[in-house]
Amino acid sequence: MSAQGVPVEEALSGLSVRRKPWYRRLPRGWPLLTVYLAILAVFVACGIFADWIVPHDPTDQNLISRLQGPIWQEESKPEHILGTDGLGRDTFSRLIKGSQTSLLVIATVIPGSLVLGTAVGLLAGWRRGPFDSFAMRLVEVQLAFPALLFALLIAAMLGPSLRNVVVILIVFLWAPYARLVRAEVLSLREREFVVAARTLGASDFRVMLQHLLPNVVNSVVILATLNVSTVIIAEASLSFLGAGAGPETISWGKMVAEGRDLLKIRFWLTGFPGITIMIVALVGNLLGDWLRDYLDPQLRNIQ
Amino acid sequence: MAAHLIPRLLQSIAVVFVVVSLVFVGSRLIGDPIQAYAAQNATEESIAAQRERLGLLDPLIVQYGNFLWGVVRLDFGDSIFSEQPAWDEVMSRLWSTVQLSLAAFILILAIGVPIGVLAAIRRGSIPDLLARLIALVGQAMPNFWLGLLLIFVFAVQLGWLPTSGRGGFENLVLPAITLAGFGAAAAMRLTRSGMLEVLSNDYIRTARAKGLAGRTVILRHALRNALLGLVTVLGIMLAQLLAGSIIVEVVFAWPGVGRLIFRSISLRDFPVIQVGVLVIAVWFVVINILVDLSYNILDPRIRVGGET
Amino acid sequence: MARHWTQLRRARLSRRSLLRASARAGVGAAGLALVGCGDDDDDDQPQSMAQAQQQDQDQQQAMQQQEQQQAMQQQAQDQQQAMQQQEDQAEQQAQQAEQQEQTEEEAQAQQQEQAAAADDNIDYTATAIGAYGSFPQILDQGSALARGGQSASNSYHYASVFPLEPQGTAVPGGLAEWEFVGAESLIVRMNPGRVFHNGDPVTAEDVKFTIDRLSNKAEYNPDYNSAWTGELVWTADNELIDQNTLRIDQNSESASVDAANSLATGGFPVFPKNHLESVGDEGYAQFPVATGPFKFVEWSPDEKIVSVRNEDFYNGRDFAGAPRTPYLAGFEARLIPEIGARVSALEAGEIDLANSIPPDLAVPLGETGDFNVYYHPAQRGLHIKLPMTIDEDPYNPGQPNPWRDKRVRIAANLAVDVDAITQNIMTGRENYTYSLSSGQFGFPKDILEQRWGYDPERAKELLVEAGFGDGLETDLIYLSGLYTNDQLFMEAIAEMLREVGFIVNLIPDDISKFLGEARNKELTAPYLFPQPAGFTSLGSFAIGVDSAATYAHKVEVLSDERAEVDRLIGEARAEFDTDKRRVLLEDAVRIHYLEASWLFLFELVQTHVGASRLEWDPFFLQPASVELWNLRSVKT
Repeated sequence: MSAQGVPVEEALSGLSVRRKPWYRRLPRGWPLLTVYLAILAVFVACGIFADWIVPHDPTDQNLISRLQGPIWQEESKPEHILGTDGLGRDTFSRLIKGSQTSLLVIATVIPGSLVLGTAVGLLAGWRRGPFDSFAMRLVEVQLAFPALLFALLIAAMLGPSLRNVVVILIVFLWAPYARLVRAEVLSLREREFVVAARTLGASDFRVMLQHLLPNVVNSVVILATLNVSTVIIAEASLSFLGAGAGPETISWGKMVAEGRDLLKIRFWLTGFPGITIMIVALVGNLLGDWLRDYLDPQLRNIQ
Repeated sequence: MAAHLIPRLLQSIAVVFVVVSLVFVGSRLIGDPIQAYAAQNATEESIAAQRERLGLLDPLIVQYGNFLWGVVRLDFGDSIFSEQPAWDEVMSRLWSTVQLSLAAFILILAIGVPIGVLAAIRRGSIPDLLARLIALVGQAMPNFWLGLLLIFVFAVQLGWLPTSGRGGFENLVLPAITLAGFGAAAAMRLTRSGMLEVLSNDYIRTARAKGLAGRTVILRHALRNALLGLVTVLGIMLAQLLAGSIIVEVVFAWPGVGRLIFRSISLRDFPVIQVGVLVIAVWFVVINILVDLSYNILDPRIRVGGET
Repeated sequence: MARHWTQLRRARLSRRSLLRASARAGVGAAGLALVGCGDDDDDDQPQSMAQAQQQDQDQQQAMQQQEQQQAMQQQAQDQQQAMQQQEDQAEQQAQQAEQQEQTEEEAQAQQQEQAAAADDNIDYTATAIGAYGSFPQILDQGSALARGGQSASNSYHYASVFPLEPQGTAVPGGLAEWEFVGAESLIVRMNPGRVFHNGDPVTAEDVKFTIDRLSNKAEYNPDYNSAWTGELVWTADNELIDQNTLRIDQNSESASVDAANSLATGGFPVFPKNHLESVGDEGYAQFPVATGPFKFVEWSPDEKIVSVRNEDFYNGRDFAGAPRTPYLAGFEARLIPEIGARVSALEAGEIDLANSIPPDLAVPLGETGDFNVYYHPAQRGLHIKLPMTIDEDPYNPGQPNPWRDKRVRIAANLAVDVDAITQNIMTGRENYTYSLSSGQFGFPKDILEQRWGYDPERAKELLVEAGFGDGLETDLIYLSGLYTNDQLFMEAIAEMLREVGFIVNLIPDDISKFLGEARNKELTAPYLFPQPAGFTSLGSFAIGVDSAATYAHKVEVLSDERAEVDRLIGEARAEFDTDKRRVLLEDAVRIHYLEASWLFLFELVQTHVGASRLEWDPFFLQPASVELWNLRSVKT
């Protein structure tokens, strides 16, 4: 049906000597990729330049003009494109400012858990022995430990803050990386190039860094992209349970959590941040899927 | 078999032990239940007396020892706030959470896996794209928002299902869908990629080359192998549904363990927190052992002792 | 009908005899305070102020109605409410007239006519399901563990010894009658024919047992975690005279005023001695047997509490006080924590009553005509208490505590636009607070005129004068999710304070942590403080302000003015003459308010939504929640 062998052109592409014109060299699915990257760029730009591009101060309250609908609804004012929240704060500006929080969380949690998990996975897979069993039991403990409850304990202990959210998420996201990397290293360690490097007297450190790491990067990056949605949703869930960022922080998750009571009469109060979360999470996932298809040699063969 | 199971069991017990010890320490770090326990105008003497009576003045190591000894005897003490045995408090709510988790898991299996298979077979087709899109949306929605939207649409606007609470089968539908949302999407994606991987393997191509009909190939060879890779992930998913149901329990007023632990944390009701987490951890390791065993059934070639 | 009249007369007789008895005993004031605090405390002055405030609010309401073009039904309802209020006021004033009895008779006759007219419409077989946001942990009203979510259970399973009239003062005719004997003792005489839910008669022995149990003196369980010790500090000892008579000796130090405060709010619930001793505290906490208007049937923790009407309830539907025999044949309380889910369940017809719904949701529901929106002033005056106990500024070690500077405190009061908050975020029906709840105690009139208004410019100036031109950094602590829209109004207040130069870090605190910090006096920042419910004027004022009160949130007296407040309260506490006591308290309130001791906000108004068949006109001026005994299901 679909898997009908490797198309000749495709199989030869790696071997072709003549350089193809640039548009032929674009990766497969590039139009969609462009869209994903564009959305990502907008998200990142909003996050970085939030303070300059917001039309209103996102913390500026106006109790008289609270709970206004978006501009296409009757009860709205033109200066608030997406309406206002329960304190008359501009939803559009808060969305932009909220992207800053999401970006900050993503930019700390994902590298944090990635580095931690990869390091543990590399060591465990390469060294084996007691460290391996210890690390794997640790992973099991972590998976057996209810993450949300842990988050609630931390929040009860330290009070709600963005820093705690980041710590909690790193603690709960490193394990999948460790498992993944360890599994890959286990299959890599018997491969010729690794054995060769080992016999040539390369140190453990060197083998791990120069030979193993480059070979696991692909899978790790794929997992990281897929984690973008996990991080954003987790932040929203923590806000719902009152264990999210403090009241001074504007985040999409908090906007959904705070507007949820009025879902019935002011859908857009949760609709906009909810849809924004969905779009960013979706793009993260799609990018992950695309990367997987592109980077994973096995999958690349399938048409 | 038994030779493998025993170390596996010991390891599991160790995992449970560590989890429970962590919770013991964690729940002691969040402060004293006496503040929410004592009357607002209680005198310092009466507060001290109550602390004494509840055993909160003992050194931490003594409390820990008492707790472990209690675990051995299956006596976890009374809930500080309801004054009922903590074990009973958790058990009386466990079934409703298990019910919800199992319903959600069945949904994940019944929706996520077949759609994943379909999407893999028809890769690139409209159904594939549609299924992927739905899966991605499902994975990209905060749980509580999805739940409230479902209540609003299906219970209030359409009036098909009850809004909240526990009762008959119809009460289970919306919370189960909400709880399954994330998992079903993940299962669908994993099935799809697992199937794709298997379908690209040589033996499938050989089977096809031998002239086996497409459906036979898919069912007999590909699906079986793809499932094998899925079992671990689905196992973890089932295990985590139990602990992840707090939000769904709050939104749908579902009287379950998640909400009990949630409230116990805010009140510092140590015994209940400990039993609740213990039950969740045991549930997790039991499922993990079952997953290991299921490898034997699904794939006789793999000896469970081998590295996976 | 005839039965009603005899009951009425009996009630009045006992009241008269009590007055006479207390006059004889020479403790007129104390006796009066008990028999009808409202009669004495509410003389012309505070009454007219309450009226003025009421009128103000009525005007505001009328304006809002025009703006919002509320449905006719709503207006009719409001008119009804206004009428009801007028009647109440008329009744109160009439009570002060010399021919008190006659007027009262007329007023009550009127009420009865109304009740009779409405009777035909009421479905006495109907039941209702109501959803609450929280449940108590256990169902024993005496225990501190039953705190939180009391209205979902305890408020209707239990009834206090003495029934109450609308203002929350005790009236005779309930479980027992009482009489002061000298300044030291109180005689409680059981009324015949009163039974517990299990059919056992209520005896003086049960009352004695109750007092002992609630003050942790009962032999069966000395470790009992009572929530009522504070209310019973005035009881020194008690002695059973016979099966129907109990003498309670007062603690001479706290004098009669504390006793009056406690008794005037109904005293305490009564627990069945024999039953409780046989099932123990744990058993009782799961299955309360009490005397309230509803009988407990069963409960599933975290899910529902099922109750039926107490057919043996001793207060008839036309009794002068409350609670009375319910109209509903049964009631089921459900726990639905999410506001959105509560409203959805109501709209889907699964429940008939959704408690604590923010006005933003409730008002549109009312406008559809399919639901009734119930408003009532809660027993909650909200203030932000300022940290006076600490010596140093937590943000500038070495510097003095800025809140000890009166200018800073005034600036905070001037910075907050209470009207903007109540009109836009809350219901618009809230009263201002002046450290006391207006429904229970009038304010000195001059304070009403001298109220700290909204003047951000002046607030800025004051901050600059006080040396905080560059801003004053402070935390602002509150417990999130305790009161309707609390997160919204706290964020609004924080922003208003920021506008004038405060640098505010808003901190939603965890309840256990907060209680611990408050108890240990570790709160170093301003925090939202709800006036405790269930206390009369002096009690609640003293508890909030008086440093001698044994209350967790007490503050130490530091300034001369605060010392003066303390002195006045102490004098009032020992003062038997009601008029003199009122003057002393008014002075204390005045100083306390003009010192800007707290950041004064507003009194919470609760909003609930019910199915259109359920009618409720609040009986009490400040009910704690929807009065279930007073909820009528109308035939459709």
